Amino acid sequence: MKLSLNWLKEFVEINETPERISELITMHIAEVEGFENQAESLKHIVVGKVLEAKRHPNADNLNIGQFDVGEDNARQIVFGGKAVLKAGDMIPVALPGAHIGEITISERKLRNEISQGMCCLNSEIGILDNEEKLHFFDNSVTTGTPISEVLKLNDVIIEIDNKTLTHRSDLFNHVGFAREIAVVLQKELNIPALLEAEQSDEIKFTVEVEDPKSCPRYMGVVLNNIKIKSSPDWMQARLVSVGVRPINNVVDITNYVMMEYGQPLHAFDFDKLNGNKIIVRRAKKDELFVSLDNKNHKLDENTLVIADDNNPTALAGIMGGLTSEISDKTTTMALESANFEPTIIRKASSKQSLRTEASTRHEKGLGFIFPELGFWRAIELLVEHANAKVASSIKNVNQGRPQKKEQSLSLEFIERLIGMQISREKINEILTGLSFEIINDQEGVLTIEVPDHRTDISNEQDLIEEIARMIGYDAIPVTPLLGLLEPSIREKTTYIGEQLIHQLSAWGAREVMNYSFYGTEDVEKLELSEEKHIEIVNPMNPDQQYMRQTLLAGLLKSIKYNQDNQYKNISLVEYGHVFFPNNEFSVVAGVISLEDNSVFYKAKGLVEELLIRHNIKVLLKPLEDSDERENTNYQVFNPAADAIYTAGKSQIATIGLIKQNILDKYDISGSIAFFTIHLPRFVELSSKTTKFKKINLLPKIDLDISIEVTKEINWNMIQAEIVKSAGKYLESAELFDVYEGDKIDENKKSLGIRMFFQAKDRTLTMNEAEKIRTNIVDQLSKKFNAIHRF
Amino acid sequence: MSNQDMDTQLASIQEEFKVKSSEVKSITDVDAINDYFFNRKKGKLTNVLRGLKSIKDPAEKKNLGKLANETKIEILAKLDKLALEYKSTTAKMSNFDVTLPGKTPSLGRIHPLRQVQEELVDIFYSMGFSVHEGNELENELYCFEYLNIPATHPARDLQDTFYVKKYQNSDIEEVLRTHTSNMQVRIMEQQKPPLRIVVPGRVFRNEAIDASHEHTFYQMEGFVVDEDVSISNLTYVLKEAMSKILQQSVQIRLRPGYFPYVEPGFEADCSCVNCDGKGCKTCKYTGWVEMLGCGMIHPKVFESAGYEAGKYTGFAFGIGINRLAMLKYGIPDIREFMKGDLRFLDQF
Ligand SMILES: [Zn+2]
Repeated sequence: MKLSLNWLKEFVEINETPERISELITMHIAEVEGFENQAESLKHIVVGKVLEAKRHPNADNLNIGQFDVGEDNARQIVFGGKAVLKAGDMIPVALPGAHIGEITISERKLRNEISQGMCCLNSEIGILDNEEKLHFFDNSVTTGTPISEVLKLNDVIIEIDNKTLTHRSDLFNHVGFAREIAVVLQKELNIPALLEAEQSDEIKFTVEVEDPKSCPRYMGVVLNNIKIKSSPDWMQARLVSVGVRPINNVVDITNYVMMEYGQPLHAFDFDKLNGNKIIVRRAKKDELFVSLDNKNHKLDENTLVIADDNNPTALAGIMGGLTSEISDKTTTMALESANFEPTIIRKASSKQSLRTEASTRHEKGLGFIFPELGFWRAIELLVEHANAKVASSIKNVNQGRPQKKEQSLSLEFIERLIGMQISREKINEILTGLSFEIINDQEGVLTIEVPDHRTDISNEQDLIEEIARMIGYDAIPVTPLLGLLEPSIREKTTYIGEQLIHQLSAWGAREVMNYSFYGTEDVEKLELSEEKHIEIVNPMNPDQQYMRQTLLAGLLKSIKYNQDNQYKNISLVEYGHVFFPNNEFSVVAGVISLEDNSVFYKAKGLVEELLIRHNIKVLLKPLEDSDERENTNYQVFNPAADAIYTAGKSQIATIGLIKQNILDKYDISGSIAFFTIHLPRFVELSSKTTKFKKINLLPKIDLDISIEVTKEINWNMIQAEIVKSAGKYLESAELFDVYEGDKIDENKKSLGIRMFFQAKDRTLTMNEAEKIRTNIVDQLSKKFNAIHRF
Repeated sequence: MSNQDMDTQLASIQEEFKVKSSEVKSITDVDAINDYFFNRKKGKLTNVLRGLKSIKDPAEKKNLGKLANETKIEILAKLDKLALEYKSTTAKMSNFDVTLPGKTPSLGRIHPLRQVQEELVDIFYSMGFSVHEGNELENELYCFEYLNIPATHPARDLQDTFYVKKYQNSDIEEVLRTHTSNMQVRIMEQQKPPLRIVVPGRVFRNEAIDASHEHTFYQMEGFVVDEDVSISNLTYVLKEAMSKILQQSVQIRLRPGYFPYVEPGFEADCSCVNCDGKGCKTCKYTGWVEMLGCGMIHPKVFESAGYEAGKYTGFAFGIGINRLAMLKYGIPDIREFMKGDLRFLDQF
């Protein structure tokens, strides 16, 4: 919202600089986004007189003129075809140094002709009606006079951020701000008293409010004898300066009063209404309405309208209708000043996509007093500037003035909430200045009567805000927070999830963050089921329609994105929530890409290392055998290379190679291993208590064997057999080499195994160890037909 | 030479090498040791290696051969290191090019938003705040209603909030939380004051994305509830925390702001660290940078949590983690965070 400093000065004395007053408003009332000093922005724009004008010799659409700008010599200025100028015309001329929007005017050549300035349209310098036309000054004006002086554009326009006024319907006007500024500056507030107009019975006029809940107050009157013309220059200038386009005297007055007192008003051409009645009612289903801006609207029962005997003639509190618009021919008008229920206005305005200055104010809920302020002020101005005469009785339909709100305020609570003591005098001064009334004061508790325009005050803290902000938040001391010292805690799933991300990153993974949604396309690519997903009612786009149940979709897209940028063999991990009906939990998931399927073992090693680090004992099963695979997205895996880690009945993690056809659908090259860790289960099983094991200081003997077996014998089986046949002296058996290839049978693989032997109570001899080895080799060849090679 | 002898000899060679290498003082000494063990005619280790040939048993030969070889490799490696230390001018060592690029270990990266979030969490944790994350899918009671944002409030409109289709029989709508303030009443219901809590996490707004708007971003809600918590305590906590994050002492300036779940509500500005509050381009020549929204917890919120009216006071604040990260790292476009682009992520 824009505020005119000159306008404010009509109600309160302000001597502060624009910078200072802006700062004070920001610190005590609402955020100032910036201000514009009109004289400053119109600097170097002066009145120039055309001495002669002719066509530009080298350009059809340009002209050249000689201008008297109050200097010794005339200036030559090249100007566009739009301006039809003749000798003697007095117009705004921007001299070098002037700022027009982003451009700074300077002397330059246009098609080989020097131009020492620029002729300015109203729209280019934001003056008067702001239209694309040229303003002609009276011949009596001295050339070279700054136009800001001639047009009395010496105002400062302050722009307020509406967001900070969300709850303050009373501040969308100059009087409201003036009231607050007066308290900040500790100055008198001077609002002229408004006179109630005399009624008449010349024209019969009635108002019928069918839905008093939606329209608690409706004031109306008919005025005749109207003379439509332009509104006075000062009024037009004010309106333009606060961003309203002047139209004619009647419309301008309604807007002017809204900017001054905050009450939206509407003027109907009374002769265009059917009948003598204004009806406030709900629209009928599919009722049609054409608004002032010539747009068609289809209405419904949730919209409040102002209607004549036949049709809606305004969308209540939002915009008038085209048929009853004030025109040059209007002589009789009906004036409306009303309260509407905020929600109905907001819903209708959003449904019809019509946001207006009026709806902005009504949807915040204006106090009961507003309609009368606007009403009397408007009649006063209409009589003065539109020749109007009250021609009907004055209607004021309402359910009675609501009772004044009373709010108690404890002095002790003020101090407790603010953190400093505030004197009684100061409290009085502030509250009274803001039109609150202290009606009782007993044992440290005040009873405050809330003024009618403050619809936002509903509790003690609301009043304390008034006191604190007027004192100034910067006047409140900084006091250390005191309290019980208790150990703080961290939500464990989040904390351990973060630890896992750090551990994975230490090993080389990069953390990504992807959206929590995916669309039908991903559901299809990953062979998931749409029905089981939680769906967004209002997604940004169809790609973000479902809440994710796996981080895989996002991770694969990240792999693709980076493969396209020549990144190879990358590992990406993510911490995130997944969503199932009534079940949201966090997971840590990752994708690892390599040229070949060995990537599976990389993922496996990684997940197992994390499990070991967090003291979790698990069982690994191929996913194929698992009875619980329904709850996993098993279908994304290559069935030959997937596995699940379980502890008891709990599935902690799944890993596997992503199926080739899925990789093809995402256009990903190489092999991808995917793992996902169910965090709540991981956390439940992880334990920090490691039990110390005595270190065996006795010598250890290491012996290797190398065996050849057929490919279907897996390492798990061999390892189990080694453990079984070795007996108690085997400390560990590790696989250090796997060979498949030309040098051996094609259905065979060769395994290199290193075994460590150690006794707990004595030094094991080489002889003993070798005996054990021989036994192991014998058993392996018996069980698996293993051939031992040295 | 018996096998047993050979074993012993190798052991004594190792011993002898230890003694000699500990006495090295110059490159000449290094060369002398080299000659003592590896002279092609009379070197001590050369001799032992030569003796291997005479061993008959193949297993024995293999074992001893391995042992002898390991000894040789070990001693040579140590001699190389010694030579390097005493700046050998021999051809082999002078080729050691220290200017070659180092071998970069494959450390990964933590997402910049997490880095900033962890930094914030660490600061508040150190100040006695507990950390909760909570769910991202939330019912409208905790996200709005209990926070004094009634159904008629503009924030409840579809254009601001993602709603999900009902999957169960319930009158209560579920939404993607629009702020981590959803945890305020949840925590107040479970715990009695004093409370010092921060809630970092992912939040959602249904708005078109551009360089400064994202529909998915990170926020950290913080709140304190006790019997005598005041505005002046709020300023203190913000001042201390911001000074830690920005690594210099800053001033906090509160001014009026509006959020339905606090009363009074504030916009908190932080003195500009770029110009020390003197005014520069970053702070638009005001000396202050808009930092976060905060306020004193609204009595309606306490009422929602079932707290006795007037017994407790408290403050709450919400820090935009994306904004802070953009400020800290100079990132001009908020969309970078969710792209998964390694050219971006690898910078942090
Ligand atoms: Zn600055």
